[in-house]
Amino acid sequence: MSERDLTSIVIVGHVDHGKSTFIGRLLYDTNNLAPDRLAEIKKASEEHGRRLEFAFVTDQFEEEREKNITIDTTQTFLKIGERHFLIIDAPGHKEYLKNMITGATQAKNGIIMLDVNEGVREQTEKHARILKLLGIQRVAVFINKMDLKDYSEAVFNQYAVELEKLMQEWGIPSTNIIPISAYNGDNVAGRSAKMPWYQGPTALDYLNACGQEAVSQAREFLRFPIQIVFDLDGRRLIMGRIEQGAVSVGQKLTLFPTGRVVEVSEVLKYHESVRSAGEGESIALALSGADGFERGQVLTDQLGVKPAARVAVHAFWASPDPLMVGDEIIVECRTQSAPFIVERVSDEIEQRGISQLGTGEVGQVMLKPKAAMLVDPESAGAALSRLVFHKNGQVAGCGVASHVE
Amino acid sequence: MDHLSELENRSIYTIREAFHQYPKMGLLWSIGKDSTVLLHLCMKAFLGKLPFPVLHIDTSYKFKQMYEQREALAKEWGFKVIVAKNQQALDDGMSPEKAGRLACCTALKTNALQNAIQENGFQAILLGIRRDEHGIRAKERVFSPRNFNFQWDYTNQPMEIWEQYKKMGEADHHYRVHPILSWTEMDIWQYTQREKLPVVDLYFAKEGRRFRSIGCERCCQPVESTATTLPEVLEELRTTTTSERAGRAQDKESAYMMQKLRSLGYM
Repeated sequence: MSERDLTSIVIVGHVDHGKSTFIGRLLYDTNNLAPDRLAEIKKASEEHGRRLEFAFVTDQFEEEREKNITIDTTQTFLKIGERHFLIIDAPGHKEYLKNMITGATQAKNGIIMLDVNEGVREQTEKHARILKLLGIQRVAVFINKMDLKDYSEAVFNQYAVELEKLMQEWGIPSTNIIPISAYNGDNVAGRSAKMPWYQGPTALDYLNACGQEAVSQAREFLRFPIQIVFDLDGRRLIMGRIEQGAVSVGQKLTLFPTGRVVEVSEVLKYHESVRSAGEGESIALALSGADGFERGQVLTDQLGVKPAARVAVHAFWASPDPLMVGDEIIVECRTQSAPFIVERVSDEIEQRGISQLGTGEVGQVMLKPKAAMLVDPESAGAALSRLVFHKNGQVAGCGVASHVE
Repeated sequence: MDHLSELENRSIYTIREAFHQYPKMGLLWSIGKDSTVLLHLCMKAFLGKLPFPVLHIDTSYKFKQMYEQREALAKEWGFKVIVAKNQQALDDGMSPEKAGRLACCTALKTNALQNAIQENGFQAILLGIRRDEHGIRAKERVFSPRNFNFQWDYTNQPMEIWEQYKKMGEADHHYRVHPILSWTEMDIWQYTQREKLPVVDLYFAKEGRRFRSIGCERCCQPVESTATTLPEVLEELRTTTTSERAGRAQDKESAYMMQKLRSLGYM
């Protein structure tokens, strides 16, 4: 592991269950809060007539502090020992789900925060289902505010049993369920003396157990969606990022959707001409022939690639208007963009056909493209399986292709 | 792929996305360490030939070394700089001492930027702000719309999922695009070292003090430091307990100063 490897963790859950407070406390207990930032938070807490408000570390908007809620997602970096973490705070209000998903799509690990006084609430379940949809690798549940239940083992055990069952129902392999008091710091960075009955990992232990960004498996076929066709000193260059696979000089590639075969004459990175480039690299290609290229076409080394006829999508919808059967939406998949028709909507659990997917809901959607698009099924964690929906000029939702016909 | 290469490749992707969406675009360069990294990334993205201009918002109160660097680098790397000033405000004697920092920053930076966007017809501006610099910047989007009053509607920001961004809408005047939003101060310095990028010598200690963040001379305070070289700066960052913008007065003059500044269109 190199020094700057980063472990990303999103904290989700219902409003006021203590997500922001936890982050502030964690920063404080791990010496990640600079004295001038702590002084600012102390001062602001006093001005609001409160005891030290750890949530103010991430709740920086005046509106957030006045109303005591998180409006928008925040990313905070912290260093513990030699490891670097990116902690993403996600708002728990229903009306800020779009901000929650903006944060959650940037994480590889998750924490569901649960207030022991309130138990599982609407957004707890919604957020859990979203984490599942996004393919978050590892999820823990923190049972927060244990101090308000006298650090009771019986209360904790009751929740632990219930949650194990729910996590299974939501399709999330259960990892850890940890009793904490974010405000008092119990089982946050250090083991709580108030809960001697609990011998499992602390919150910090969980963080340390979280993996780094997944090393993507080597995938067989090249996917190079064209981003920009750019003329440089009279030369036509095809710019983009290798989403999967590799490209090398002399290789013959197929241009999707035209099916034309082209040869790579040069692979360019800044002033360098390189022999080959791999996954994740933003490069420029010089190809045999200069005409007939445009953004949204995909270069591949796979033979017989066909445009999707139908795509089954595990989808999340966030637009204020519901997603209805028969609707036309714009679907983006990396640099590809095309209108799609919604053929069928079904609920997530029993797969019954329903007429619409409401705001903030997760479900299964069958989409039929009106123009050629290359979509890969999710199975191999393929880059071209992630779809983003646009409606009325707004980003309206997202989904993962589970099946492509 | 190592961490810095991953950041670099992702930022280049963002820069190219911005250029595709908004061909009439400008790059805001303050001559500080962050926007110099961004400038270098733009050069890389377009193989050494920028298809858009570089914009410098000149308050006339910048350090002498910054002006020298501006001329030297533009010549060496071969790009054009548009220098934008709020001359009217300067003629009227605008200064932080006279009008206060909020008014001064707004007049000489925000308003100068707005005039430049208007005059050049920019649909988007690339900026080198980072989430770990300030709690308000931590809330930013990569593609951040500004309305016709140049305001940032921070309580109603668009969704950003898997590097797909909201497109220009009827209520949007221009976009602020932030390609290095997820870089940290440490990333910037490590990348500066790896790519051998030039930096203004104000960042290195003289007589026990150095600047960690630079802007206008009168509103920047140096921090105590013995770091006289780039490796020493990296070493200092591993152990320091002060925050990066501790020496930047305009962030702290009053509560929510940064929020007020930014909601009006500040960087």
